[in-house]
Amino acid sequence: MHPIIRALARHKLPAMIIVVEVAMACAVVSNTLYLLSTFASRVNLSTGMDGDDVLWLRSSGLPTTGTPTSSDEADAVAVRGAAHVRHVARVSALPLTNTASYRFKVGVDGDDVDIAGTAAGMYLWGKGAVQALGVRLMSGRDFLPEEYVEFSPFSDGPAPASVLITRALAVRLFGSVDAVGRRLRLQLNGQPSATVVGVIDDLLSPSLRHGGDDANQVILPVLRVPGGLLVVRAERSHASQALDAAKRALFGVSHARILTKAELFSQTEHEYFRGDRSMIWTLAMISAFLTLLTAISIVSISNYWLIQRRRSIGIRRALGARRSQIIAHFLAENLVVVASGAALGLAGAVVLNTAMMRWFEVGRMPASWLIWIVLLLLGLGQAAVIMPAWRASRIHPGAIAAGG
Amino acid sequence: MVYFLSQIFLGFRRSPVFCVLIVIIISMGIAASTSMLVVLRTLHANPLPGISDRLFHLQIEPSVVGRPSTRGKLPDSLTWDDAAALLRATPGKRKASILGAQLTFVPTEGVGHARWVKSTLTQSAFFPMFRAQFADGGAWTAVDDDQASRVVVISDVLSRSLFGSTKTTGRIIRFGDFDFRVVGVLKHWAPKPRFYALSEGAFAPPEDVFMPLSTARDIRAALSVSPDCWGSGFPDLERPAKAPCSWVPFWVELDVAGDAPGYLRFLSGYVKEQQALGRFQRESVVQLHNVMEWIEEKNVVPSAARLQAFIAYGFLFICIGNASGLLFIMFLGRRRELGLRRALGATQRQIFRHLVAETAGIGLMSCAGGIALTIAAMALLRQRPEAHYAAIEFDPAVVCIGVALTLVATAVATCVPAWHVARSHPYRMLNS
Repeated sequence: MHPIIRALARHKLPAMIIVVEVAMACAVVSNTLYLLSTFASRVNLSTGMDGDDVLWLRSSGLPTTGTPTSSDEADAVAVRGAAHVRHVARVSALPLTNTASYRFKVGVDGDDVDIAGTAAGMYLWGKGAVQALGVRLMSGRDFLPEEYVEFSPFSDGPAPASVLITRALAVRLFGSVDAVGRRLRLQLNGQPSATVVGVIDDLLSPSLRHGGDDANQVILPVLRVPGGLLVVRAERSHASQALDAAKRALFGVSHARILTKAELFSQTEHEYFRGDRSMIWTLAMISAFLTLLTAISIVSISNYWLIQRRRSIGIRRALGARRSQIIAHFLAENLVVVASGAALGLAGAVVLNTAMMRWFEVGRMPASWLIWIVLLLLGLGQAAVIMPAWRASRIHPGAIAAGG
Repeated sequence: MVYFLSQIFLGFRRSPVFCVLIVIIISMGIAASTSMLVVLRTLHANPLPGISDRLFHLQIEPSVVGRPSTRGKLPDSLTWDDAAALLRATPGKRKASILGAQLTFVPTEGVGHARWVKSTLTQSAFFPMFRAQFADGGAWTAVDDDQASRVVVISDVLSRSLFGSTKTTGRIIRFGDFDFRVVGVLKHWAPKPRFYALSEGAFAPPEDVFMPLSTARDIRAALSVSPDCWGSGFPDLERPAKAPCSWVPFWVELDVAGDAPGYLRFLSGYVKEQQALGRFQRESVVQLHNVMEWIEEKNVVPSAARLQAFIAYGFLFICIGNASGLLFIMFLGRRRELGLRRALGATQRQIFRHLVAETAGIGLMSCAGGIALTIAAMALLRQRPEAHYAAIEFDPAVVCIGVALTLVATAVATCVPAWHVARSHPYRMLNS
C-alpha cells in the first residue's frame, strides 16, 4: 500500500468526514451552478434588436360615443414630429413585451406546411420598422415600399409576396444563412408562398416559451397593423425625453385615448428577466456559501489532523524529510480524499439532477459540466489545505523530543 | 441547572471560533428552509378559512351539438346559457357568475387621462358569499341585478385614490359614457390566492370595481376572460349566448359541506333535462370543487417556488452535515480529557450527556440566529418581483416549525459525534 493510503487508513474518521462533506457539496453545487447557468443563458439572450434608444407605445381608443378616435396614421405622423424622435414604425409586437403573438408554420416551397412545417412566430411590420427596431440585416435587403400590402392574419386577403426571416429560421429551413431569393410556404389561408428578400439577425418572440423555436420568425410587410404598437427610435441617449415628447404628441392628436403602455424598451427587457435575475442571485449566493462552507470544513479538519500527527511529522523531518516533501504529502493526501469525495458526489449529482428533471422543468446536466465541478472542488481542496500544510512543514524536528 | 449553564459557558469558551462557525452555519440552513416553508404555506393558504369547504366551483361538460368530446377534461367555466339557468334555479344558498373586465375610467373633472380599471362583473350574492366586508354602504340588491342599475361597489384603494376617503357611498364615477353611483366601499378585501379568478394569476392584484353583470351587458363593457371555445367566435357582452365557448366561472355556496351530493344530483338532473331538450348530445360530466380543492386542481404553486424549496432543504441538509463534521473535530480534539474522565470512572452515558449539554448553547443560539435570519430573508423575499412573494407574511406557526427544526437539526448534529466519542475506549482516547 502506498504510504499516503496507509496514513489515511490510520486516521479514518477525519478523512471520512471530508469525503462525505465534499460529496454533498459536489452533488448540490453542481446542480445549483447548472441551474444558474441555464438562467444566465436566458438573461444573456440577444433580443435581435438594438434596444438602447428604443421606446414603445400602445394606445387604445375610448369606447365612448361622440369622441372621434384618432387614426393610426395620424398618431404615427404626430410622433414622428416629436422632439428627439428619429424613426417611427407600427408593428404587431416586439420581443419580450408579453404582447399577443401570432404563431404558424412555414416550410420550403413544395412541402405541405401543415405536416412538414417548422413552427415560427409571425411579426407584422409597417414601413420603417427595420430602422426603428435597429435589426441587423445579415444578407439581402429591407422591404421595398411597394412590397407593403393590406394584410391581416384574421382575414382572407392575399398574403405579402416578400418576407424577411431570421438567421435561425434560414439555417433550419435552407441549411445556410444565405436564403435570399428562396421561396417559403406559409401556413395561412391557401398556403401562399413568399420570397425571402433578406435574412435578419435572430429576433426573439414576444414571450419566450417555445424553447429553440423562439428565434424562428417570419416578418411580413404590411401597410396597417390594427391593434399593434408604435415603436420609436430616439436620438442617441435621449430616449426618456423622446418618450415624454411622444406621449404629448399622442395626446395632442386626441385626448380620447388610453395609453396602455409607454415605456423604454430597455426597461421592458429588464423587467422581463427580473425573476430570472433574482433566481440567479439566489443560486449564486447558495453556491458560494456551500463552497465556502466546504472550504472551512476542510481547513478545520486538516488543522486538527495536523495537530494529531505532530509527532509523526516531527519524526519524518528528523529522518531527513524536506519541508517541501511534508507539504507535498499533505497536498497529495488532500487530493486523494477530495477526489474520492468528488467521485461519490458525482453519483449524487446525477441522482439529484434526475430527480429535478422529473419534478421540475430542468434539463439534463452535460457530462462536461461534472468535469468542471470536480476540477473546481479539487482546486478548492488544494487551496484549503495549503495553510495547514505550510504549518505542518514548519514543525520542528525536535517536536518529538518536546513530546507534543 | 447552574452546572448545566456553566457547562454551556465552558463549552463555548473552549473553542469559540468553532462554536460561532457552527451557529452561523445552522442558522443559515434554518433561515433558508424556514423562509421557503413560509412561501410554500402562503401559496397553499386557505383564502377563506372556515367557509371554504362550503363554497363550490362548478364545471359542466358543454356537450352541445357541434362540440367534439374532450373525454373527462372539463373546461374551467360554464357556457352563458348554463350559468344563466343555474343562477335562476332554486338549489344552492348563494350563487354568482364572475367575469373579469376592463372598465374605462374617465375623470369627470377633466384632469388627467382616461385609464383602464380592473373590475369584476357579478351578482349581488358575490359579497355575502365570499364574506366581503364593507367600510361604507353595502352590496347592490337583487333588484339592481334585475334592472341593470347603474351602481358599483369599489375597493377601499380606489375610493381613497379618487375621493380621499372610504366614506364615499353616493358619489358618482364615470366609466365610458355612463355615470355610476357608488353603493358600497369594501373594507380591504383581497383573498390570496385569488381563487375565483385564477386565470388572471393566482396572486394578481385585486380588482378596483365590482359591477352588476347585467349592467355591464347594458354598457357593453370590454371583457378580459379566458374562454375555452370550440367554434369560431369570441365571447362578448353584446350577444353572450352566441359564443361557442365555456367562459363564465360559476360559484355556489351551500348551507353545509354535506349538501354537495344533493347539489350534484340536482346538476345531473339539469344535464339530463338539457339532453332531453336536444341541447346536449349526451349526458354531460359535472364536477364540484370546493375552494381548496379548486386551488389544488389548478396547481397555483409556481414550479419555481417548489424548486427553491427543494434547494433550500438541500442547503439545510448540507449545513447540518458540515456542522456535524465541525462538532466531530471539536470533540475529537478533546479525546484525551474525555478519556481521563472515563478512566476516572465516568460512564459512556455521562460523557455523552456532558457533551450534549455543552452544545445545547449552540442549539439555543442557532434558534435565535435562525429566527432573526428568517425575518431578514422574508423581508428580502418580499422585494422580489414575482407576485406571490408580495403575499408572504410572518407566520408564528411556521416560526415554531422553524424552531423545532433547529432543535432537531442541532440534536442530530450533536448526538452523532457525541455518541461516537463517548463510545471510544478510554485507553485509546488517552493514547491519542
